[in-house]
Amino acid sequence: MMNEDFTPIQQADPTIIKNGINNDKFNSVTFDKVAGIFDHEKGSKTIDKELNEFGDFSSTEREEINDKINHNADINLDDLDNGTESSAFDGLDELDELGIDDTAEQLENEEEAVGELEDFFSSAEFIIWIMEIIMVYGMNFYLKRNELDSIGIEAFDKSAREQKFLVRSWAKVLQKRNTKISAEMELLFALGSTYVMKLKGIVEAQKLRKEKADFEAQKNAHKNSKKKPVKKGKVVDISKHQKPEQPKEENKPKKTKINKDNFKLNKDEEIEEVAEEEKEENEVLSIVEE
Amino acid sequence: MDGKRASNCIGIIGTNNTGKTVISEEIIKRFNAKRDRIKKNGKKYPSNYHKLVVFDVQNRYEEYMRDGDINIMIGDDGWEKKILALRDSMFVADDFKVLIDDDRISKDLLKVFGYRMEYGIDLVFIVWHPTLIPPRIYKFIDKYYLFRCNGNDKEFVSRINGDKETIAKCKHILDYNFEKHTEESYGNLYPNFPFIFYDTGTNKAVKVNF
Repeated sequence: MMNEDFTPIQQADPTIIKNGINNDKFNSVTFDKVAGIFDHEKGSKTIDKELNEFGDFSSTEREEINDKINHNADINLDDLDNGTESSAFDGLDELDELGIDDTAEQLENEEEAVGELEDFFSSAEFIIWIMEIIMVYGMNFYLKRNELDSIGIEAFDKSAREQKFLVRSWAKVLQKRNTKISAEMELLFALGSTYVMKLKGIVEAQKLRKEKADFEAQKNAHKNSKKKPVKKGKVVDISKHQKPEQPKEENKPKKTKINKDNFKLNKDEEIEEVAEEEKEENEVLSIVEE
Repeated sequence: MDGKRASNCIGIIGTNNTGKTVISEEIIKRFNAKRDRIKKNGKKYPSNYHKLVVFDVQNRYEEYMRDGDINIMIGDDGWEKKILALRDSMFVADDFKVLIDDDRISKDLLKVFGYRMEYGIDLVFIVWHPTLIPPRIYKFIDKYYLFRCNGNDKEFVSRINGDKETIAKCKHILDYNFEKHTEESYGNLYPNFPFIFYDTGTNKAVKVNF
């Protein structure tokens, strides 16, 4: 809704531009409507005080004052300063104390440098995250070459204290971009101390697991080799193989003459011995058949 | 209502031939009309009251100058102190960038901004692009007269002090209204020099002369 009666800005309620492009439905006002901000006199403590004092003077005194003002080449501006609280300064005093140069470009550079450390925390966390990803890839490359298992980003889990320390270190680097190398070295040391031991432990554990796995595999391989069935191989012509060496004559055991009569059995005893042998054979066969 | 008001710090931004100086003349006319009313009332004021200070590179304000008004020339020293000596007055700088040498904002000029409320000095700066106002000055500007302005939206929005969304909408409106009539002279179609008046304090904007 447009306010047709455009009073000075302190009381005006101009039409708000709600839609970006589709603005045809908002009527335009003329300059007279907005010019009200220049109407009326201005009021302030200084102006009111000066006007009150001026009004108390006689006409002659006023002329003298005006003459003095018109020839104000020697007026010290400090005298004009009523010492009022200047909320309009918006921190000018602080800027003067900091000695910030007035050039706009230099001001922007200095404002960047004199930022709060906390402003760099989010950037520092991001950079740490990127670094961890790079280190994961680098480690896995190394592990793969050594035939070890790969690791994930969870390997870089760290305590809150470690995280906080790393973030602050990186934030300092970002804040002091053009400073000496000491800040960067400090960060490298922090990264090294945090991750080197951790990674070393991971690699050692990987190696042990691999050794154990290799040992188990070897053990199983040996175990399985005993149970293997005899394979039917080719008929080997023994005649083609070299006969085993016959022991030399001198090494041959001497034959002793055996007196046959000593070993001659009684015929009946001989028959009994044969029957005994047959009986044992039958018993064995019966067991087999069962 | 006692008829008193606070001073304004106004940035008039727009590319060439969009009506910036014409509107600044309208502002000065309003100021002169107030001076005439005060003089007519017969109330006596110190001689440092109700003065007009201009930086007039195009020599457009000569006819509006009166006794005691100040016309700043390039290279003048101490002009800031002359403004600080005034009360309930107005300072209009056409092509403000030329006045600020090497973007050096003197401490006296900062005092002009700082004391503008207390001394009742309206400040009006005219530039043809937002990047031509030093960043430090942007802190003090509370009202804008936004004319059609070249440059990308991001540059425009990032420089002007105020609600970014509202400023972006203003830029779109200005560009849209210009672009949809590219075959005809922008000056002929909009003889009244349209612009958007934006008050950063209330975050409200209104189209003027469209």
